[in-house]
Amino acid sequence: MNRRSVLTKSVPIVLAAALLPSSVVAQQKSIKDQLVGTWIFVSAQDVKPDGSKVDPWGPNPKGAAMYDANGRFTFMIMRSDLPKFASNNRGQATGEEGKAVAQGMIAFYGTYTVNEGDKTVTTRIEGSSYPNLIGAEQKRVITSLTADELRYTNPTTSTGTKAEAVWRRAK
Amino acid sequence: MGSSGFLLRPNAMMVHEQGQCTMNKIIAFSTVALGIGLAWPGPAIAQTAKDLVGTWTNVANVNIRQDGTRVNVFGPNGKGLAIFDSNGRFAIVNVNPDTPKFAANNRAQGTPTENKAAMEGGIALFGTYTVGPDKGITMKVEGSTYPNWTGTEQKRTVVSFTGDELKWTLPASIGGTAEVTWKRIK
Repeated sequence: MNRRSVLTKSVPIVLAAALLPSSVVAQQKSIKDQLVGTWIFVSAQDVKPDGSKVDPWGPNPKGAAMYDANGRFTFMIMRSDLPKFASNNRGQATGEEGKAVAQGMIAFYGTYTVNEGDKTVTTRIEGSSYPNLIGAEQKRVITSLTADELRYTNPTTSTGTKAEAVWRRAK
Repeated sequence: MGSSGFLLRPNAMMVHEQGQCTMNKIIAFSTVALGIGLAWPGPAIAQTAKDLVGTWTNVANVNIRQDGTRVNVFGPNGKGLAIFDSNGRFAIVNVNPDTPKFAANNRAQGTPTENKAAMEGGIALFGTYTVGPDKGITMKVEGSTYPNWTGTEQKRTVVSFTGDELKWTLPASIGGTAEVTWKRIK
């Protein structure tokens, strides 16, 4: 191949690469790379065996999940109507306050891995506000992941149901 | 200490740039040297939010009571994780891993004793953060597992920062002062 033909052949390739729409480039990112970052909780609904859905988190729930590039994460969700403790001391909840909060929030952290093949995220929980989760391994099945939104199902929640969750990327 | 070094430097540079007599230059350089000397030997202080960006594992979480006694807030094996992202968002989870598990194995079915122990045995919060100008960390708490913290703006005083180790104090959620130490995870 002489020099001229190399040029005539390579220029169009370079041009084509430069003109690739950004969405094509985005699709080449791994699920892991797309997951890394901070996500704000939108909703999670429990799906009962008969298919009916229940919203355990109430109106305007709060929550954030942060996935770092090295495989560590934090995760928390809480209802927005949790009662403030009258004692103004975390160690002095009344029975009602303790019950409302224990039922109305969840937080945990640990390490995570992504299976690019079956689009699952496995979390290994090192610490949790719900002690039964400490040491647990959980799987989330990603059903949709775009630049701004993450949807997954949780086959087994800490209240024994299946859940569908939606998160939006923090800006 | 860090802030005094920071403040002295621009003054010294100004004198230098005016190109006045040698004596002024000597004073200027001495001032810079003094500023650096004051700033350097002690632990570095977090200057910007950038210094915090990353993932940190909890080393200690001590409650200092009014009488000065020190107690591990989350027991002898307390642990936790904090993540600060580069866009000004953070999340912190601290737990006592020895908190008893719920017998029902269902988060919605804790006994009053189990619920109370779970509340005492952990705290989590998330929101946005800024650093400075007084080298403190200001956190706007958007949500917390301790409802009294949700919607509050909190100030953490950085008492030491070496790049890989961070120690701050704040009014504790159980009264007294909390002294929290973190180590950067690489």
